[in-house]
Amino acid sequence: MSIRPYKLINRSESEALTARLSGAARRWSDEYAAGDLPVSCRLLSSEEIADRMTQPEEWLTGTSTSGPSLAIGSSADWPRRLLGLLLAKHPAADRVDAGTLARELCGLALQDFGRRIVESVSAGPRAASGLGWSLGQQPTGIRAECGFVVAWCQIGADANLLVVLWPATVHPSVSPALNRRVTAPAVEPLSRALQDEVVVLCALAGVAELAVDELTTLSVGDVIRLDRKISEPLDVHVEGGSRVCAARLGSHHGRKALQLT
Amino acid sequence: MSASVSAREEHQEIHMLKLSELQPAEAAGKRLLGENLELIRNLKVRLAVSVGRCELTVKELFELRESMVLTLDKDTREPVEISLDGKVVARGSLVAVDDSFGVRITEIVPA
Repeated sequence: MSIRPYKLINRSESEALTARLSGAARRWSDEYAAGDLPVSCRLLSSEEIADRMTQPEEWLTGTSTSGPSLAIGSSADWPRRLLGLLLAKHPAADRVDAGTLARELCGLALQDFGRRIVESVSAGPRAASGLGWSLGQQPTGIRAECGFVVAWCQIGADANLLVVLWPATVHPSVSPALNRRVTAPAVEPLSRALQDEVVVLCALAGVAELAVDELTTLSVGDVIRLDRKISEPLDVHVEGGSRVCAARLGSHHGRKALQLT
Repeated sequence: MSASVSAREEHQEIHMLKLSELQPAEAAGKRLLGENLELIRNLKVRLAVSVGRCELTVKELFELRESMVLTLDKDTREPVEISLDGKVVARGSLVAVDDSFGVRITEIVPA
């Protein structure tokens, strides 16, 4: 899925969008306040947001003269028609002040349970108010210099997902937490960075050198002698690569197995 | 007697050779050879016999220790693979030929 570019919307669409988002946020807020709606939220790391941007979700982004300031992504449960309003093709003539839009949207989203979100964000990684928020690193994938808060909310047991990029300037309560310097990650040794890569090991019983003439006349039942003695261990190779070690061939729970030597 | 002396004495004319520029044909020409393996019948090739594989992460690889047992992806009754340049060309069962490993062919696609 490609991330579609932001399309400017006109004033009436902006108002309709705001109203709908407001309605959804308020409904969720009410249900949350009544204890009927479980909500879990957390901030996304830069890796997660980069990954999530490639997921089959729709993204709503706002642009102001100073650069992108808001993005909302959603799963299929989010009312797609709302996203469609921003994602549909519209002439850019009637430019919306995206900064204002962001403030309105986020203000609405932050009402009621949003206040608790802000408190817990400010409180750092500690879970607060029953919301599992933690402060992650500011995303680098999308104009990190703008100071985004990237949040992932699961709303309700049926997993309404809402992913929001808030600019740090949208809500003053968020800013102090964001403005804490995030320590740059240490440079990892390559051997550690490679730790999760998968390699295939291959056990070789031996090799045999044949002329093509002999090869083409091979048939079922023929026996080829290999270069390795029964008493010798087998060679274990990284597939397509170097020899790793030697091993004795045996079985383990009905499968062929190697005991490394 | 050297070749140059021989040429002078026999009044042969010696010229430098000039190679003419070859022009590749625009349309592909007639194939000169079919896939005739007879042409390469004496070519020696190397067959490798693999008894099985297993997947590890690099972390697990670096933590391998002596005497550890790695279970492979094949059960004991499954055939071994006979590969040529990484391509499986036959399968067979592992046998002992005198004091060496050997493989008895159980599956092969005729050339």
